[in-house]
Amino acid sequence: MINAGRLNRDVVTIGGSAGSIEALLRIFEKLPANLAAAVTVVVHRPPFFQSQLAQIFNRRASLPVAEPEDGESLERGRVYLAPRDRHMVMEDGHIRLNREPQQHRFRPAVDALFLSAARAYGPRVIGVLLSGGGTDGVRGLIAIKAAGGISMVQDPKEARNPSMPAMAIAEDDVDAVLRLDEIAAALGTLTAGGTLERRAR
Amino acid sequence: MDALPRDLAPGTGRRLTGVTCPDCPGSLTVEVQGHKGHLHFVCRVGHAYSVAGLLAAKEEVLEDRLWGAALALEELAALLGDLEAYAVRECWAGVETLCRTRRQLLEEHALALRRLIEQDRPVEIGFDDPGTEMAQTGPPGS
Repeated sequence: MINAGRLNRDVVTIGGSAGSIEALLRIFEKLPANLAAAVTVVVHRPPFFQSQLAQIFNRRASLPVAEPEDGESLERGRVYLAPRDRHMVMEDGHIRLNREPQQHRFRPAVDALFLSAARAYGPRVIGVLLSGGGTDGVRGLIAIKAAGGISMVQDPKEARNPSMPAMAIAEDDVDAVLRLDEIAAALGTLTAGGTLERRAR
Repeated sequence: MDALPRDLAPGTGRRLTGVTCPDCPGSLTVEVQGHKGHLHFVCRVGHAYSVAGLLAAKEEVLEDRLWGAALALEELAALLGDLEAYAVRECWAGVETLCRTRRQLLEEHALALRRLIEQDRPVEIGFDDPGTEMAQTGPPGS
């Protein structure tokens, strides 16, 4: 059973790359509007070009989605999307944005977010790795699980680019492998201190 | 010199490698993360890679360097070719032959290098078929 200790997992971190935008849209549409967690999201995006990604998410999401300013406080019921060309990390109840070195040749990088979440919030964290090429997020998901958090990936069979979730499954014991519709429901349950049955996919 | 520490294993901490960072001149360190052997590489300033990402980045560095070498050959050959023509116009005794001999050798090398790049085949990075992986390890997270 996942979350047998019935902790309120109130820090949700989500990462993805190719194929993750439509995945995130599906998750955001189905997240409970009263979600008792702060949701932080890194998707790989080109560093030099403006985009309307936050606005696109915001139109369809049940929670407000925005790119945070450096130093903004982390609040439940909001979605924080990492802006282009900045790593987004958590520190002491706040979001910090920085131009530290690229990880896996990406900035923002999923690992930067996941590692900071594991360090700052330990067991309160749920890490979700969605569709994407390459391996960014795998190391961070290992760190989240090692710190007592819950690690979750999109079912690689469903992901448009299965590399990131498949590598996470290959290189750690991921807690849950779920389809997109199940991920939104699972986040609702776990953030409210509920439990999930483990099951084979 | 070893590229990776020979006794690399889970729990041996972060170790220095004999490999430089693909994105800066720094040396890479490596550490095994988790218990399934995930390798995580980081340089002094903080560029970070998985083993697949490191291989991909090093392949890019290799192609960059090969084109750098091709440029050096072709640029020097072009310079020598133009100097050869200039030497003819200015009647510089001996310079013309010297330029031509060297230029012809460089042009041969440049062609050989372009052939090498054409025929090179970078590592193709896949990942374990998730179905196979889970069949081996049972239900995810169990």
